Amino acid sequence: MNTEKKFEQFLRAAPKPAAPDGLLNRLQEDVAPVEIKRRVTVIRRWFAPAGGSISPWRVAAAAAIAIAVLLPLSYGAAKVIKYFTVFEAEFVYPQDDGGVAGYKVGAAIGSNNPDFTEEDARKDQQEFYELYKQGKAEEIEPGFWFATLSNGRGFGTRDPEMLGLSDAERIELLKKQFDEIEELRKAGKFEKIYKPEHDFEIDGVKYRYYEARYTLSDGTVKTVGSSEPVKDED
Amino acid sequence: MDNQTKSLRRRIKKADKNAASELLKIYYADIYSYLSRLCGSRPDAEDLTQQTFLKAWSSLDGFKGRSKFSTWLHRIAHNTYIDWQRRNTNSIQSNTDQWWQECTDKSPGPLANVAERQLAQRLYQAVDQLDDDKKHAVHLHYYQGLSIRETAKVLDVATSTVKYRLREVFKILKTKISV
Repeated sequence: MNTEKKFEQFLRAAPKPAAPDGLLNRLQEDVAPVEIKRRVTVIRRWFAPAGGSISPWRVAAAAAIAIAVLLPLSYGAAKVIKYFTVFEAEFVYPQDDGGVAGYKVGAAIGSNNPDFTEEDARKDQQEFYELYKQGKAEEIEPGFWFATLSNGRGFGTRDPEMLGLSDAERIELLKKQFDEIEELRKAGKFEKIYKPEHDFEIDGVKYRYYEARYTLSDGTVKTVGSSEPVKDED
Repeated sequence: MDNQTKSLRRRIKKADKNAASELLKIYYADIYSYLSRLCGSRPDAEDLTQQTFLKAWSSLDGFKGRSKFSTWLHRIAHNTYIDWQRRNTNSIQSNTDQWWQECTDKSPGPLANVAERQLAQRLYQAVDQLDDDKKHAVHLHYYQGLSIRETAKVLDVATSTVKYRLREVFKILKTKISV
């Protein structure tokens, strides 16, 4: 047997670590198809806040909440069972064809603690901002800042500077940014990164989720969650 | 397996908790062993397995069947590991070396004699010293038994890239280990 075949044989026969006793039970406790339904409902509310049919033009706006809800899962190891929206704003741009393009920004802070309150959420936000100012937050991936708070909770954000502003200041800054983003979107000047794990379906229409990355004139890169209807499946 | 998985997924979307439990029973051991080999620590592998399934439940609605369910789950597990790795860079290598040693010592498996076990142990340790791209190709294709195409989907690269990486792996292993 030649060396490569022998190596292949060994690699295929690599020991398989047995799952520890009790793991299956713990995983079964987490099984929560209800969570799936709740998330769809949250997305639907962002698509069509007044109920009724869903306007495709709202698609660009809708994904922001999905990102906000998913971030704690990605970076915190815990199931988010309670969260609070501590800030939200919407920017709408009429289009030449009579439709509108909308961008919705939301900051949601979640926890796996059922006793988590909105006050806790705001305190977490404040403490994170203090740590960030002191240089104690870490940029764990380009543009995403993370720190572990004194209560042991992890906190991450793509906009740490925004946390130090008042709501009025945030809206003024965001308006300037979205004016520029809208121009870049219309000119097709953005990078599209598909995230198939977040694709979804509403009213029988399947949507492919992606992140659109815009580089603004001051050099900052802004990521906007967006989606497009799926024309045909692979 | 795929038809069974499809039917279970349909039931889960109707909030059938038993269907989710059945799906879990089919896949959890595979995902645990994948993560356990990668991170080399039992408690960390348990946490990562838990995170993987939590993400799977919350994203299940977006799974359209464009790939096998097991491929989709491996992709979530892979991304979960990558996130974790970024935050634990210093501790991973020493853990995995120790884990392979313990594992090959205990495992009767198909490696019949001491010399073969020692060789296998050196091989597994050498794989974990490869750069991440090559290491992940080996873990998914050989350790987890995914096809080249499935491995490429998990890693989000072309199948030719996986083949190239595996060819490079054998070149490196041959220089490091003599049979």
